[in-house]
Amino acid sequence: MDKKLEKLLLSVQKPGRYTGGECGSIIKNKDDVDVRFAFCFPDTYEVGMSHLGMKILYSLFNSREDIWCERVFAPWVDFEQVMRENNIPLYALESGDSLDKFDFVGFTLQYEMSYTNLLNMLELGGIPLRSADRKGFQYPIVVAGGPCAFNPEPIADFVDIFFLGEGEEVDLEVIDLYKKYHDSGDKDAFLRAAAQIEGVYVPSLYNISYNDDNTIKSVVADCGAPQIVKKRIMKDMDKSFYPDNQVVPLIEIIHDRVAQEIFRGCIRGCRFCQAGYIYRPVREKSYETVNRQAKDLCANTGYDEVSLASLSTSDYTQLESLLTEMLKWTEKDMVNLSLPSLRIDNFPKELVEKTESVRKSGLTFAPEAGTQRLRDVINKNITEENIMSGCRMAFEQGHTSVKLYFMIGLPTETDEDIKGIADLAQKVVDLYYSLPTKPKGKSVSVSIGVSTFVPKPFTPFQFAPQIDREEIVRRQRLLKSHITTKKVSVSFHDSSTSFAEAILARGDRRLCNVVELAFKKGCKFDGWDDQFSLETWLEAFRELNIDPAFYANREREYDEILPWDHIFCGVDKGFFVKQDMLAKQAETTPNCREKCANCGAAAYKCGVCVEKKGGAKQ
Amino acid sequence: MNEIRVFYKKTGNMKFISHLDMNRLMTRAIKKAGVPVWYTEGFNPHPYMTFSMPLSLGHESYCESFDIRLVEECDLNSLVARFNEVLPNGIEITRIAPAVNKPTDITKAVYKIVFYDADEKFCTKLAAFLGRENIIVEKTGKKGKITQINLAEKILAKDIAEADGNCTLSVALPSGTTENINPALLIAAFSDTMLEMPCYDIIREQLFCGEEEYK
Repeated sequence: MDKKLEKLLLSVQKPGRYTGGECGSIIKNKDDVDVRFAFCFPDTYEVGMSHLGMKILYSLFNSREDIWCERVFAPWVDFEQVMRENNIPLYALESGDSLDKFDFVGFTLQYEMSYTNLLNMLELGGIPLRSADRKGFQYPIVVAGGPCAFNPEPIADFVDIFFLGEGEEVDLEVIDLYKKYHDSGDKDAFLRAAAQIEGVYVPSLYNISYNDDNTIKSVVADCGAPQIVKKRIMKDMDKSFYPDNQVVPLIEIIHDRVAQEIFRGCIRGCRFCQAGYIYRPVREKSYETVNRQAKDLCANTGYDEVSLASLSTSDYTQLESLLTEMLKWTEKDMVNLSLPSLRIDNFPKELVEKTESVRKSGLTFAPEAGTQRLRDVINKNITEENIMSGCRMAFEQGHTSVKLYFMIGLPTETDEDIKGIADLAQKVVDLYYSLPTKPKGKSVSVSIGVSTFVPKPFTPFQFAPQIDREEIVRRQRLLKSHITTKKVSVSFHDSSTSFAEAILARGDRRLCNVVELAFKKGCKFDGWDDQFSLETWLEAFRELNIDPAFYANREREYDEILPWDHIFCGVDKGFFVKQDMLAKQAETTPNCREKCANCGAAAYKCGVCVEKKGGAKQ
Repeated sequence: MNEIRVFYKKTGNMKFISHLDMNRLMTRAIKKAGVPVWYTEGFNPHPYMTFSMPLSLGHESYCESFDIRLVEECDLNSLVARFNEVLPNGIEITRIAPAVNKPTDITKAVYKIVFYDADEKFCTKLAAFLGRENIIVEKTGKKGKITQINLAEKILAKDIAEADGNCTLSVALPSGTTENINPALLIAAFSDTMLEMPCYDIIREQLFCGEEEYK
């Protein structure tokens, strides 16, 4: 690194974000590889280095001798200013080369509020923002994947290729295809051919027309691209690529540990949760595979903590066998086992007692709604009895604090439901004081985290309106007014961010201009409370004469063409319609292992859809 | 149980890693290299590890060290190799030996400050500055108390040399728990007298207990 850059680094916060040099990072000779891939996480180093997807793909791409994959993160505002003042382009950490020198620039889209960062990183890297302005192969091919890729329309004009679903196979297929086309210089031919690969969405090949009322009239595929784009998944999790090493950061990051994946998908079908639908069907790794992978990662990285990662860890059918196997070496090697994402109604007391981290950290449960009626509406099949017995177990083990997560603004919600949140918290407090075995002299602390419901595509609630911001504030105040004890504390997730999220989540392609204008007006790091400016976003909407409420607050008809209808996530639209109708009647749907609800995921012929009845994989 | 001292160099981009970061880095290296260390008892067991002397962020060093306790006999020379295999570039173990001095015995440190692309004129100005009788600076101590000190009195030894277009200053300053003068203070005071400053690196070359090297 040159001395001038070093000097500049000393003037910013956490210079270690920008230096690279970590153990586990892969250095290759750029002249020895055919394809250079820049994996870009559109947020800070500390956030991006915690992301499991990047760890998997970084390792996968680099396992190929002809590919060199490097990492790029969004520079924090102080370093960005330094970069712009000194004409330093955005560079990858391994080589220090600027972004425009790569064959592929790939982003992972974890949340909608990272879109302006994506544009900022392209600009800082010297890459034209719009796909149409990147002719031939003179600029990198810009690709993106992750959950938001399932409705990528608000950034469709900036990305050449979206990967839908899991990238362990499709990403390499596209890279191999690129190698074939590169010498021809014909980017259009490359994109047309890529669109034929299952899991690839090339937005420029789809023509969208609109009705007078601004809803979509039609989405028509061109140049032989598939009318419906289907996601890709890895069917056999035991055979799917998984790294045995990862880049170990030199500075502190948010989740500084081994994240060990145990299964993908979720059986529960909570109606608000997009992840539970787009990762269907549930596919487990065998516990032997999980144990071996975790052990290798700990040995190679020197990490002293392993976190079991999944959408709902207590639903893993082999949890007992896994913990038994892992505890054989974790205790001896002084490795901490952490189990987040435990469902309260499936809380295996004996197992959890074995894992120290739960004893150390507080317990968190997510009832999401305050009354049984509303919990039934959202299909979060948890009863008050489940919540109470989970808290009782926690208190009896010595915990004195519990965190409960709820949402405000769920469909059919009434003031009764809001009051139900406060009542539930009070019941937990009362439970604590009723227990003879509670810790002496210590009081209880129940903290409630309340976020605002954002309707997401590919959920039964994708037709629902988000409630108006004034109404959100009224309900927040109402909840606060019902809390009468100091033992309960409430914190609200910022509702203006939720509003922006709700616009982009179900946005269409016309929002590209808004995203670009908001970015040009200075919007970035929108996921950070101290950086986000709703007012600037609204300015952009006004100037372009687009009404944000059309996207966030409007109820959709079931037969309206939605901006993501031409994408298949594994679940049929008809299933979402049926689920929404059931929700309105407060009727629940059993989970995948209790009874198959014929959502459409069986088309992939794997995972829970082909498990023998009775639960455990044969 | 064997209390041993691990000496290492911290150079290049590793200058951007904080003390806490170093702690984590070494803990992981110990695990990866399979070094049989003693873990603290209690609620949050971790390898017992104490560092000798803190180093400012942005400074390099050839004389860093930390103490650990081995629970098994180990060939200390091969331990050096095992450690270096698992450490990132910029951190290099130089030797491992039983600890001799106590960290509280440290009284001074010798620093090398390299000014890049600095010509003869610069060296002359630097020499003149360091030759002054009074170099008064304000130092903020703990609890925010501000005192005035004369850095000229604190310079225990100095030497300026010019080579390869760079100007190298070697300076000895008090260092340790009783009194500690950060070379950055001296450079900052010099900077105030200059319109322009070249890029420079500060490297802590050696720690001393009196006139003896810290072991």
